[in-house]
Amino acid sequence: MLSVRSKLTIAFSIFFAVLIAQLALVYYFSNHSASLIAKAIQAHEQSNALTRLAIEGQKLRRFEKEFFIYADNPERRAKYSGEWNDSYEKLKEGLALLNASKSGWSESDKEKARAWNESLRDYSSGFNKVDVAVNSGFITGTIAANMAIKEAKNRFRVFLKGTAVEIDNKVREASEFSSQVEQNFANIQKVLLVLSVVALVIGGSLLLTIPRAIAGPISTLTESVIDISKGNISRPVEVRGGPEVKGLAESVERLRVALKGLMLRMNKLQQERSQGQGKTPSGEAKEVA
Amino acid sequence: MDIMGWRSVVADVLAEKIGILSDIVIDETLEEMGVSEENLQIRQLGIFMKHLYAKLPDDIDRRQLLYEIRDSLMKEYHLLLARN
Repeated sequence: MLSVRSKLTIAFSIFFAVLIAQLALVYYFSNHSASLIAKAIQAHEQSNALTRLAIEGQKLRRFEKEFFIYADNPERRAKYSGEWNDSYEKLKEGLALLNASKSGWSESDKEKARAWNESLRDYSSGFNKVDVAVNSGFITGTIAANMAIKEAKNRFRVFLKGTAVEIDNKVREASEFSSQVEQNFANIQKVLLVLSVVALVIGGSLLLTIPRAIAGPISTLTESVIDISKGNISRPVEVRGGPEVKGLAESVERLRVALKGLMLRMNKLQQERSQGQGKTPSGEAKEVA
Repeated sequence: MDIMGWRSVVADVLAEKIGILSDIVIDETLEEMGVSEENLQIRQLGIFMKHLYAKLPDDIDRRQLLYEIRDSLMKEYHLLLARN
């Protein structure tokens, strides 16, 4: 049978192992979740940046259309041409920043950004040519201007479609990371629940077994010692429990046996003495002598 | 005196079961046999054990205790006992 000390050591070791496992799992899941949250935020920020670029691209198209609508109005034309150029500069700057960025954007993202930059450059070149032709009077009217920019406009679709698709991708990525974070939290909850149940079971069994393992044999031993102290030395001491209590019970049993033996001898001596006193005076005289 | 220190060997084994009674029991046994501790011969050990058995309390495993005494004596004085 295991000693009380061994039982306590084993039980508390299991208890601490459960606690350490809980701590390690929480640490792992929270770290993993933190990294996923950072990725989700990054994907969200990227989708925002791409949305800003896409809006600027749509603005370019709108200014181009306004420019052609007012192809016959030099004042309005100049206004929209200027706005187109402002938007173009912003877009160019945004794409340059994306390309120069050292973190967050992948090589494949940068590759796409370079293709978009090229399509923007082609579109810009086409628009500027049409702008010059309209200003110098080679092209007159909205329809003719529209026809003239058609090819450059088609090239710009690479940017417009590409950013739309990429925005979708980034939003999906952010959503996937968020789902993983949710899944992680669900896993943490499950694991914590299981480990808590395990800890409760261990704690409960400790509560049930340890006091019984200590108090049971001690209580039996106490009863035996009380019996012996009251003079009832015929009942052997029950030797049970862990080694600590067992050793004590064996010692008490040894004392009981010795005490019983001594009592028997004492009674025998007393009987012999009584018999001796009951003898004839001459016998008494002999004994005294 | 054939076997020096036999008493402490026997007393040690007895004390494991009957504690302070062990020396009393040994003295009683010797007295009953009419020999002193110093004069006990190896050949008298058998008789000693027989008397000892009768003196031991009956609520212990007396037979087992005697086996243990015999084993301890054999271990301590194996050559001497084997020869006799």
